[in-house]
Amino acid sequence: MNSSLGIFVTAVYASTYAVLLGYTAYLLWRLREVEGED
Amino acid sequence: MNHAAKKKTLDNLSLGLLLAGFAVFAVGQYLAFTAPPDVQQGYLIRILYVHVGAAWVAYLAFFVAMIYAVLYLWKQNPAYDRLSAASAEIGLLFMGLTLIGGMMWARPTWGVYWTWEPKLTTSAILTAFYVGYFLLRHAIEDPEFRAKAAAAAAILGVVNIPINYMSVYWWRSIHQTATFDIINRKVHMDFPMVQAMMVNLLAITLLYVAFLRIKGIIAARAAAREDWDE
Repeated sequence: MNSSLGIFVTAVYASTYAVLLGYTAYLLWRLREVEGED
Repeated sequence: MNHAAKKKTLDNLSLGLLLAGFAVFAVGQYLAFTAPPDVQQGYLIRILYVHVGAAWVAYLAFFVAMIYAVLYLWKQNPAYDRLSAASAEIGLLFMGLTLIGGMMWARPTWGVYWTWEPKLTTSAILTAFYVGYFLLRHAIEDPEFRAKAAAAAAILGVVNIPINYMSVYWWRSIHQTATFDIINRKVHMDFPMVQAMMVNLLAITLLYVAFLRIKGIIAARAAAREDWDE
């Protein structure tokens, strides 16, 4: 793959992983937090 | 009441959906990185394997937000308002991901990250509308009035979806037509590419369902806590 194009593909996949894993982590943290409030 | 027994951190269905979503996503990633390059776009087509899935889930999430908004107005059950807001939040998240993917694809293809052509303009309007939806929710303190106003906004917002989807047909510009052309019943890709795209689309859809379910549980518990405090 052309290395300059690879940067754009990498950026998209890195953002996708960050959003999916980050949002999962956020939800699990919030779930634990509201559980703790009971 | 035995709170420890009632409030399990993550129920089995949510956990199963999350694990299934990530497992299918891993398969989708393998297929995306082993699919052949496109004759015109080369390996840049790999961006579309997640871009299309994210856009589909954003549409789906906004549509589901509208369904729950209608249910709220009909049944007056606050749970529907919470689920409508949860779905809109996830939709906005995936819309953001769609915009990032689109801009990263546009820069090497068109030479610019952003241009005010119809597809991108209607995408910006769609995103701005749901940012406004959350500003509206935060601006109103009365829960009942907030839920009604948000329901009206969620119903109104869904009008943007067919306009955004159809923009590539109504105003032919530089954005390519839909990969899955439901108007002309065509798929503009070879099988390994379609396979990679469909598996990623399924994975992101499963994750959306898992996110919505977990977010709904969180919102319900937070609301119960607020009622308890009052």
